[in-house]
Amino acid sequence: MTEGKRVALKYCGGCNPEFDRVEYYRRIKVVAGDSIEWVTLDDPGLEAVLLIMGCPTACPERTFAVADMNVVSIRDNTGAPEDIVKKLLKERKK
Amino acid sequence: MKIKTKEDYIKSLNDQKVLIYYNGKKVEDRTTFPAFVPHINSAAKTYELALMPEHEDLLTAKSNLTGKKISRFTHIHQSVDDLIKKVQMLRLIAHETASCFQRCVGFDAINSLYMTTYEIDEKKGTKYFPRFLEYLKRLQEENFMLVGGMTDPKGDRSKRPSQQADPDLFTRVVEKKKDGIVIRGAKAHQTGAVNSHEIMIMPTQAMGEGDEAYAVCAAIPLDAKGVTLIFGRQSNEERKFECGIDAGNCEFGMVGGEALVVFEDVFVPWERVFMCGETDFTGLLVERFATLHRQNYGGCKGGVSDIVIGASALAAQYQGTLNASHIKDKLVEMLHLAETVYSGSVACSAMGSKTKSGAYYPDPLLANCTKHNITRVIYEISRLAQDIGGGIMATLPFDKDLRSPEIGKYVEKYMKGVEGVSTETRMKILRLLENMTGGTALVESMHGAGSPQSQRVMYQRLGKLNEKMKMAKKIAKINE
Repeated sequence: MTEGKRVALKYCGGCNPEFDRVEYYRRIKVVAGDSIEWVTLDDPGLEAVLLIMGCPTACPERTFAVADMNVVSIRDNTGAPEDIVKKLLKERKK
Repeated sequence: MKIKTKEDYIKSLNDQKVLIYYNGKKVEDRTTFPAFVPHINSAAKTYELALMPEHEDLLTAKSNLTGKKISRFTHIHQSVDDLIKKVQMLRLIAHETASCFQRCVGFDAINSLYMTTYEIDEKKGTKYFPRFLEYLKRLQEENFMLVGGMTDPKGDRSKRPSQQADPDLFTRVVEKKKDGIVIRGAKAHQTGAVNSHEIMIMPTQAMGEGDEAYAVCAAIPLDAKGVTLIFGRQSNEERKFECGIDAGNCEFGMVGGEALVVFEDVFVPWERVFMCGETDFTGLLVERFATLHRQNYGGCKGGVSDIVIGASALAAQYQGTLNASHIKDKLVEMLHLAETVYSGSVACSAMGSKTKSGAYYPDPLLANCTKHNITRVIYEISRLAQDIGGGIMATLPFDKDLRSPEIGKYVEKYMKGVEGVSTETRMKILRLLENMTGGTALVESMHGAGSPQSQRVMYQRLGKLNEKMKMAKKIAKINE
């Protein structure tokens, strides 16, 4: 059994979100299954980051910076979870 | 952080024995006393939300002192982004409580003291700033709840502190000792005091020559010898003891649970004193605290207004009027007003600037404007909510009438609205509206963070009227 890709999840603060961010993450997590190992930004060996923003303002994008990392940022819940998982699993172009 | 969870918070309150009076009687256990529980629940939300990944970006911050992750309520603003996040955080928590969660006052006290003690030391060579930093590190580490103690009783408002017939009507230093000072006086309307751990006393206004004893800032544990708290009676106070529908918001209550905090010769060691006699810095400190506090109101009241708007729409839906054009128009007006006050808080934050200490500070004119709007707009939102809700919110029978074996059937039958919605559901939303749009809740919007006149004074000072006259002259081509 192979280990999943180590992906950190970060939410915006959720002051006035336009969709249920936690529910949307649950859907992504179900689709990802074992292909992704969910970790935090403080954990070592990060390979990608999923940012879930509650609205188009996407506050954390203003200050968020992770060098040499595949960062997927979501601002609404219209995308299919399968597509988001694909993006997270994609290798970062060197 | 020593206090992380709601359970930690309640245990810490239990561990500290504070002398509190309620309606003439001493409260033995502040953590289970029904009149205080809603305020405890509200403040506890600030701890609970900080532990949730989906909210930690607003509820936590990285300390500029230690680099550790801390509660934002103990953070010193390091950027405009921090100032904006503060406002966003307040709106978020208001959505969870529909009430005051109290910790912003201590938050604003530490930020105003951080900036001001730095500048006192710079001018006078004192050591308040490093002393304050040590206190702040402990606050950030332990995450206890700090009351921002600014408002003195003030007695005869036409007289200065040192001119009062009773010198204790402004909190003062009555004795300086080798190891500390002795404080006497009182702080009025102290938000969250009965469920806090310490109070930061600050001067209530700019002081002049002769008022040196009143120019004092100090952190005092609420269980210190000589401290007595007297809880302020709110509208419909006794409904909290029933904990039913009639309370409106049984879990989180109404406003902040304000108290009169009395200091009867309370000893404070020097390491907890951050101003003592520097009258020339009192005005600056008060202005900064007021600006930081006025910055908040479009956040928390904007968030509370979101609940009022939602409740108004539900009340209309439950009585079949939601699709009436005049109801829609009133709801739109309420939305407009709520977003207007929120805009003010965001704007004064976005236009914030860096102080000498490195801490960021909102634009004072815009912050005052924000709070001044609150003294009007919340009344208008409440008026519209009561218009939509109808007189029934003031004349509903008791919760116990609904549950009575004899008359419950009449309440059920005659208080019902549309089909498919129970009478109990309708009563719940109407009582919530009643709770949020009248009495103490409204007065808090008027006077919390300073009465309207105090904001108008700031307009006179900061409004650049002369510049505006010059601009008008230029356009009108007036050269004289």
